Amino acid sequence: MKLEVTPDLRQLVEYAGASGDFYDMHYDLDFARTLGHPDLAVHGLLKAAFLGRLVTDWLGDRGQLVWFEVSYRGMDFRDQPFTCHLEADGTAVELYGESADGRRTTLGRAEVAFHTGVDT
Amino acid sequence: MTIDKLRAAVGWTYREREDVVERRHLRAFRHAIGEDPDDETVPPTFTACFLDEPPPMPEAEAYGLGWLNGGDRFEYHAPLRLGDVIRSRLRFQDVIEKDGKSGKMAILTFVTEFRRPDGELVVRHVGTRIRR
Repeated sequence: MKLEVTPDLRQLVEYAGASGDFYDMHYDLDFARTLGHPDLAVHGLLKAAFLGRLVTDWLGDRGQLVWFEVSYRGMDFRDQPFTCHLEADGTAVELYGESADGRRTTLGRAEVAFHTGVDT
Repeated sequence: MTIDKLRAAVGWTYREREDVVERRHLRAFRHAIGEDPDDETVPPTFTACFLDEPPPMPEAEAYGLGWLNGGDRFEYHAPLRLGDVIRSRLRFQDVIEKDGKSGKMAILTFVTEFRRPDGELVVRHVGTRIRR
């Protein structure tokens, strides 16, 4: 199961506003460059939210999340495709987010609990 | 700034917050992450909105040039729904220093418990934040 998104500057600004994280490196290119970044980076927590979408789409109303964690191994930048992948084995869920050049920049895991009687 | 001042700051907490899962906010968040804003389900990372990001800790801001996010973990203890009132306080839990490709970096761990006013734990968040 996968989900492909391409966050643009508008989406980064919308996420900054909704989350309250106004760290300049996500919308001020001059600031990002002073930190050595080539472009505006996607918020780690926005990438986590994309992986979270995939988990909740997959889980539906069959159960609930017990925990969900994401580790950021590389940066992703605006206007670049970011593809989220999900593989489930029982209640254990493995996730990763892949940048356009095939790097697994974002690794995730989750544990779910199925409602009683749900066929997993 | 040396790592020692950061180590000495372990245990630092920020102000206590009280937040409400408001309809307009939930709509804006769902829209921003590409979900249907008319659905009132609270997404699994929504409590990140109730974190002060980046952490406003002077000892961290004095180390390195900028912030990177290393990771986020959410532990779900009770359902979070529209209208819920949530209290929380950001706590600086731990720090280690590592040698990276571009010099030294500090890896900081922050823990936040999101609780209802009666004390019930709803979500526990562990944030790994990097200064370099």
